[in-house]
Amino acid sequence: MHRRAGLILLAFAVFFAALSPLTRWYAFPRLAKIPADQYQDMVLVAKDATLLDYGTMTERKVPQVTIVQTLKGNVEASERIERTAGRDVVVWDGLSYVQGPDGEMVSKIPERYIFDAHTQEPVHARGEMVDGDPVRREGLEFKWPFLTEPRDYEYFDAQARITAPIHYKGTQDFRGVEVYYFEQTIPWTEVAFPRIMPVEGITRETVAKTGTTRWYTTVRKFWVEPVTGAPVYGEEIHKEELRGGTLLGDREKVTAFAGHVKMREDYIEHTVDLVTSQRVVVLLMTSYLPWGFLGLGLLLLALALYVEARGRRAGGSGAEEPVTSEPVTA
Amino acid sequence: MYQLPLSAGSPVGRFRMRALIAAATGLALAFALVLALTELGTPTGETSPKPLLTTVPPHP
Repeated sequence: MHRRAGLILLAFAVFFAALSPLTRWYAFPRLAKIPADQYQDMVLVAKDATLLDYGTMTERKVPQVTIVQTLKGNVEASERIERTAGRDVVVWDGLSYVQGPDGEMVSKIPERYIFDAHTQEPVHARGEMVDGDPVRREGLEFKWPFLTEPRDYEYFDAQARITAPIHYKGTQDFRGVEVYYFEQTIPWTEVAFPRIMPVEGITRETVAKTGTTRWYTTVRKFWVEPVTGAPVYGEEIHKEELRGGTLLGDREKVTAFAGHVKMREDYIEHTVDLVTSQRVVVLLMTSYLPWGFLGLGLLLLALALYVEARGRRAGGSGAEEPVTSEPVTA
Repeated sequence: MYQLPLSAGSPVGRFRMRALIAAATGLALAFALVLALTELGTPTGETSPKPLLTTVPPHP
């Protein structure tokens, strides 16, 4: 009886001990992924910003510019790409909608971002674009991979359509969450005019004919929770200028936008709460369950050995051998 | 006939064989469970009917 119990305990000990590395290194990389149907929005504001008045082509100070960013997982497109890519793919259709102080549209930039659901590496497929222009992304955009490392990454800049390093600048505490702080500087770069302009009748083609060009620079800052790879906060010191051409008359350049863009307070709180809860799920797969299983496996192994030892003691040299009883004399 | 002291025929050998089978069963079950779970995967869901926003939402 003891022998059977010991063997069952041994089987369970091996079962749990094996589950430990299998959970961490086999199941986690395959199960942890960005859901294809995710929908999220984000509101960022730039207080006391500078904006171009396209009517007079002069810059003006405004109390606030608001940026509404939406990301919507396109499940049908991801399933279509997965058939040829042979891996789990997420397709995000995004829109960055910039609104001036009076509620008027300043710019509206759609984009399609296709990436590996597990690693967040870009996947190249037809339809990958920014503002209708086909692009070929390298590096990250919007989100870091699960178990982010404290090192520099490559980050795709949708305005300039280029990939540049985003530097790890240290570990910080952001509202009780340990985060990695990353910073990227895009130097003054000539960029395309948006396809949809704030003034009716003006298109990027008509502006191009005037010889005026659009330039942009930014300092991008992200505070990333490393377990989930999700940014809990972001800021951008963003400047845009129009330079040269007949559109500006005798002026060399004019500011089209300048502002310190920050996440709106209610969205920061929402993001911190969301990331904190998601962090527990990832930690369950990478730490709590593997260590728990290992501990349980060792405990059951110890129990199995104890039961076996007791069985041997009770059965003399071995339970398999017949127990010989000594005659009892009173 | 000479028999190795720890061969499967001896009591200790038999016990070791049973222990080995028990351990292999535990290992096989662990692999089967993890493989089944990963093969099952997670549901993909459906594209959200919500639009890409062109108005400022009042709250998240």
